[in-house]
Amino acid sequence: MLIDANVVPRDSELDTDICIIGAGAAGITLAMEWAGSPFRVCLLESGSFDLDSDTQELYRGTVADGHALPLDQMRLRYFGGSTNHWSGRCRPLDEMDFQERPWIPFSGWPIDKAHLAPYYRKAETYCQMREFDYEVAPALFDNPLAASAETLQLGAFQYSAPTHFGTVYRNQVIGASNTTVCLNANVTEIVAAENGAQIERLAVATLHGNRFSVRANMYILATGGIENARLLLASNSRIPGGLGNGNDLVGRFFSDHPTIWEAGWIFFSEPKQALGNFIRINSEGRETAPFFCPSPEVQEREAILNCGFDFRSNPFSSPGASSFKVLGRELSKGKVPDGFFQHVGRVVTDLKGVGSSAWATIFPDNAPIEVDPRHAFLVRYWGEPAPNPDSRVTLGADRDKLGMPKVQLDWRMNDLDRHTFARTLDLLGLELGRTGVGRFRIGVGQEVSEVFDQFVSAEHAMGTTRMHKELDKGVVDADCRVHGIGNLYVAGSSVFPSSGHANPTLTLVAMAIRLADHIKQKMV
Amino acid sequence: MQLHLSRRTVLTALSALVGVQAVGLRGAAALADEVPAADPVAGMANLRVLLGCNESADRIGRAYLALVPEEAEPMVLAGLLGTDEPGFAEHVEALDAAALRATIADRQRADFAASRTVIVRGWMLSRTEVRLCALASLLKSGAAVA
Repeated sequence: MLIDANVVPRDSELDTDICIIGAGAAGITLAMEWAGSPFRVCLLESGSFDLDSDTQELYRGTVADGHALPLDQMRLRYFGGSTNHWSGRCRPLDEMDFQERPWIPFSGWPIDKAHLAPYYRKAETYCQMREFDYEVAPALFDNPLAASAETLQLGAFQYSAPTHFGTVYRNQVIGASNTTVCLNANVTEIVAAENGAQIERLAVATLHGNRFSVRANMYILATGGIENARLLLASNSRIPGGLGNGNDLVGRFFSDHPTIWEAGWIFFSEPKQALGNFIRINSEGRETAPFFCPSPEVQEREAILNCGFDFRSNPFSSPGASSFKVLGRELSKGKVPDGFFQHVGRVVTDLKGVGSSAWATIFPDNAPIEVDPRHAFLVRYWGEPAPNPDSRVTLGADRDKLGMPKVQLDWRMNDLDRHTFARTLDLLGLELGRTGVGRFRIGVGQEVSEVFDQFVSAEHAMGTTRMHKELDKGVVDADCRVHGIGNLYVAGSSVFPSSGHANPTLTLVAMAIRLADHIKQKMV
Repeated sequence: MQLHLSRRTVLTALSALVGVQAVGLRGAAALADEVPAADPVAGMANLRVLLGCNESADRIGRAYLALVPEEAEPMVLAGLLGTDEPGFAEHVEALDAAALRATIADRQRADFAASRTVIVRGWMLSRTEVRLCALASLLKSGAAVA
């Protein structure tokens, strides 16, 4: 069933068994998992089925520096959430990502990868991908660094369509006899009972001035890596400091994957025409892309985080020209590329480079070719973020149209992030030279630290309601239940205590399926 | 540093060292050229070609010497490259061009394996190859070898 929050009787109460707040990848997956079950499910979504500027504006907030994107651009606030603009790049976290690594403070999950494996398989189905062995997948590629395989491993991503959850699963969710989808419904507070141990109701408001409540037996917060923290912090009328925040952890450990688009250049001694296909290939109906990462043994030996890098062709065009080409290529295929807004920004700020590249394309004899393009490739780097309590989401003094405090984001990198970047490039350069395969040149800037400071957001908000079995070290427990509150759960990448380097969607969908199973068992 | 090398021995050794591996810059095809071990002038020219182009080798060499000015003297560099090791010159003279290139390639790889590298103009290079660039640059500028 589908209803509009604007026509719900004012000050009324909707009653349900399970209420999901947010219809993004996690929320829709939960609703799908419970479709046809004996439980009444209500799925609340702030937006409608299309982007609306007034609703999107509710995402506005401030960011502390220029590395993070504006908060109303990195996310989408309508049915399907940010899957409406994701790239579709998928890969499970590595086994090591789940482990407590002594050289990485605050690392480790209370569950391991083997526990999540069956949920990953099902998550691939939700993302419209086929079963894929990510460990065997590198055999699909001709590895140019094969002689360095003990140090730098070849891995693979698989690409989803990309699945726009709001489009693909809309009819199934709305058509489920036990499910009510309520659009234009903004939760302004999760209201706790007097003792704080249970949630009593949700306060809901619309941009047109309607207000009502929702009561449920179970509440699932699934509004994304930033909004999950915002809503918990803002739900403070009965619990000062917000829900689940007794240890001042909500909003801390904000993580994103620092991405450096031009970390450096790799020069191969021999021409590598095959690398033209190294970016993304289609194999047996699967679209996959290779990458490199330091092996687990090297990560431990070097005391570094997980990370990945890959190669791109045409490395000597300008940043603006590179972005212009990416935008043209992806948009012509109807896809929004990774880092869309960064690309637009680089085109706008590098019009000279774009113009020069266009001139060289039209008059190739005049192009300033410095290297043989068969030898030279751009290196793109992305890192696992170090869990960092000082990297955080807080509430500001400004309020949005619904009276909710706006978010302040202070995304920080620490020495371990920088060391991982520098050491990984160092290993790449040393291996290229040791094996005689080629040479490495660091990106723009003479110092590695200057290059690292060019990092940008991958638009992967994670970590702000981190999972830990001990209540003084995490916001949610191993079942994703908020510590100390019996009927409030959190879904999405905000529960990731360590993030690995892989894009988070596949993992958060797998976690949502796991949570759905857990609550089914609790409700029976 | 006290050197025990004749002018001819040094020049022969230096010319031998031009068999540095190309690193993928335009001009890598010049690797196929034979390197005349007994002609130091031609050898230096080929060094620069083998490194990609004359300008690139000179730039790398000059940049390195700016970082390490105490090495800005051909005989100092020759010593650091090991040309004053006992038997080195005789060993070099006995090798053909291909064998020399292989010898130098081994030294480069050994440098990387032992992290004997230096960052010059953003490049991660082995100490051996960057000193060869520096020699090329010095000789191009007319530095005396005495």
